[in-house]
Amino acid sequence: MEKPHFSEILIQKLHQKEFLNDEDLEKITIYQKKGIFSLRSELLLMIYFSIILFTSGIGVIVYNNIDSIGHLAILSANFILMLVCFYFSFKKAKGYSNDEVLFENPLHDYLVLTGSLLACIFLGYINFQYQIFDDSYAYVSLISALLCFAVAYYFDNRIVLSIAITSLAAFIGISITPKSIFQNEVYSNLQLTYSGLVLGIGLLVWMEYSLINKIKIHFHFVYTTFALHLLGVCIIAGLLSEQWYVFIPILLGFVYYFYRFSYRVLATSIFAFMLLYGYFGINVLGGKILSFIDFGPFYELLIMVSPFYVVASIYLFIRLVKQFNAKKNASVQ
Amino acid sequence: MQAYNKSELENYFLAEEAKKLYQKKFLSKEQLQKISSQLMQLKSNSNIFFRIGFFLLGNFLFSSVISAFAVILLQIVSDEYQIIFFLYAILAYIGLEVLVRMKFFRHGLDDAFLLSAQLSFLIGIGILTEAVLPVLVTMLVLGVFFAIRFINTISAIMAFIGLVGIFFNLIVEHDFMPKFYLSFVGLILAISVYFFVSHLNKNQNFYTYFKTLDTIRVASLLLGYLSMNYLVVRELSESLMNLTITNTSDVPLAFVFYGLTFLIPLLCFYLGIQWKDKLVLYTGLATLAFGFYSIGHYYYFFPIEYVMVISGILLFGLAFLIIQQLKNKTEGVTFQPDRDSDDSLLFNAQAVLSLANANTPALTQSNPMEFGGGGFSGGGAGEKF
Repeated sequence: MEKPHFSEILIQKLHQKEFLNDEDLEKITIYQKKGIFSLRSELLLMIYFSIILFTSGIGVIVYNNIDSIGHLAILSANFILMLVCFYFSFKKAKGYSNDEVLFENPLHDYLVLTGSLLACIFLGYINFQYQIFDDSYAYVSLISALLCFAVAYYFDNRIVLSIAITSLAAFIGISITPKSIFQNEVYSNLQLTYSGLVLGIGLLVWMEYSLINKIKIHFHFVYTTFALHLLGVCIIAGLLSEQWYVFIPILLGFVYYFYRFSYRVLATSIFAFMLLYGYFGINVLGGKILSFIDFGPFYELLIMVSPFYVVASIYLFIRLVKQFNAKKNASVQ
Repeated sequence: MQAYNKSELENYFLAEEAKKLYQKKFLSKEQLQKISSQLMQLKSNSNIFFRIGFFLLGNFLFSSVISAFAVILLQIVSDEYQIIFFLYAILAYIGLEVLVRMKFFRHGLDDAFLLSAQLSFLIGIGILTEAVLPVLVTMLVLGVFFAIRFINTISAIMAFIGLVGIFFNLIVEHDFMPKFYLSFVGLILAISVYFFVSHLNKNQNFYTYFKTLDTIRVASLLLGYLSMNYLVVRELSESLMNLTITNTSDVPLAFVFYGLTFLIPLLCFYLGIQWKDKLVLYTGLATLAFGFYSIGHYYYFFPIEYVMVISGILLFGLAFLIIQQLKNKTEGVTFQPDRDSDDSLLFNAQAVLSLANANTPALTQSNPMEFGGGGFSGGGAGEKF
């Protein structure tokens, strides 16, 4: 089934309007004749999902068989597989460097990932079986985190880095999954909110330090994404709690920092979520303040005025986004 | 019929194409800037985050406007509450036209008003007639109208749902024909919509609608698959035709449905690669996953964790084999990166994915409560792909 290709029509039009010169057009036609249909991302994602499926299955099997005879066999298989993964990873790795180091074959990145996940399973199991740290799973999370950080930095693997960060969060006691956010785990406990703030700020400090000293600069996206969401959720939780006034300066600092940061790296997702958390936080704050004033008779007035408030905020957002896009378009590399 | 100025629309699409060419490194930065400074005329958000954000804000605005209206209106028209939704629809439509005059296109705000206008009108019809069929007919008519006038994909999908709903409703509620034919009607409908849309896709004058038509194409593929999927057919025949299925009996023509549950996804794979069409390819992937789920729903082979391990190994093996096959090809279907593909982006995406379902083994261990009983099975529940 041959259909006139959407982009071909547009490219012809661009050419007619003399935005494209003949030379460009020729280059494009040669490229299009090759009919490149790259399945690279799809196949790599498939590998990623297969590894996640495999390791989570292994994890469940290990724990289900903890009291049975076969567990030693499974566990040694796990351990050997982990060693094999790391053996080949070390063999193929080019060694540590502060810059980005890529494997020649992208599949080796996933070998590293498999090894790290199996190592985490292994650590958790030994602790359970031999009670090294009593019943405290926090320390296992910490050790997993340290191991994953080391692996992530040595092999330059962002996926392992994100596992390391989540393990670190688990050590503190927050499980940052969409599920836990919906179940209000972060909201219900002010202690956790404060530890979340500390972790988020700590990650940002480390990221700033690495940026200045040029240590794995490309890791910044993982750190900021995690810190942004962690801090955002914690601040909203804090604003809803008893000690809400403490979080007003933190909210302002949060918005200011991420506003500057998103301009620095021109990351649209960071900018967008900064606006989201900031707007949400300000509205929560507004609601808090309104709840102190007895509005009784003015409720209708408030409802009548609210569209103007929304229009004003939309106007503001359009301005902000326009500014950001202009800056981003002006400095496309 | 189109709400937008033709040349402005063309400029919008040209600017978008220029951006793509820039990403593929055919255009220099100066060329791109020159093009976008001369062409940009419609206000739109190509970034999905911004578009969703403005969509939410637009909904927020519309609901605050209608609540302001409700404060006044409910005192006046409290007896004739039926018409209030039509008023809302008119209000949203006026808002939409104003936004269009202000040259908003695929911005998020216009999407919000467009959807609100349609939904309010549908609710109004529903309250007025208290029947399903008129709502579905309105859904189809309004959807087609909005999709053509505002070049909107969501409306087109609503029109499609309306169309399917009409047939479904006629057969199920109004006994238009024996219920047994329902799934075949679905398949025929899907095939005819697919070829109708592909036919429209051949006309160059409709190029502004190509994205919308592509979405409808995928929707019709999904419909075709779902109407032949074993799980869907069995559940529907149990609930609609009061069939009881035991170990010895099965739905009529069961072998057809068993076969097609896997043959259609494979066909999608094949065609997706043949036509170099990623949408069809993704549909194949999604439907294949659903096919395995459907069979797993009725037949118990192994405990879930073994299924996970085995499917993980199989998936890895399959992907690995394909990669080995495609590794050194430089033309056609290939594993080589395309000119615009970015491994860094892919790694970031996977890292964020890992953050999002952080139910990694490291975290499952941190919850000692789950180990005691024998019924532990929740460890990997977060990773059902």
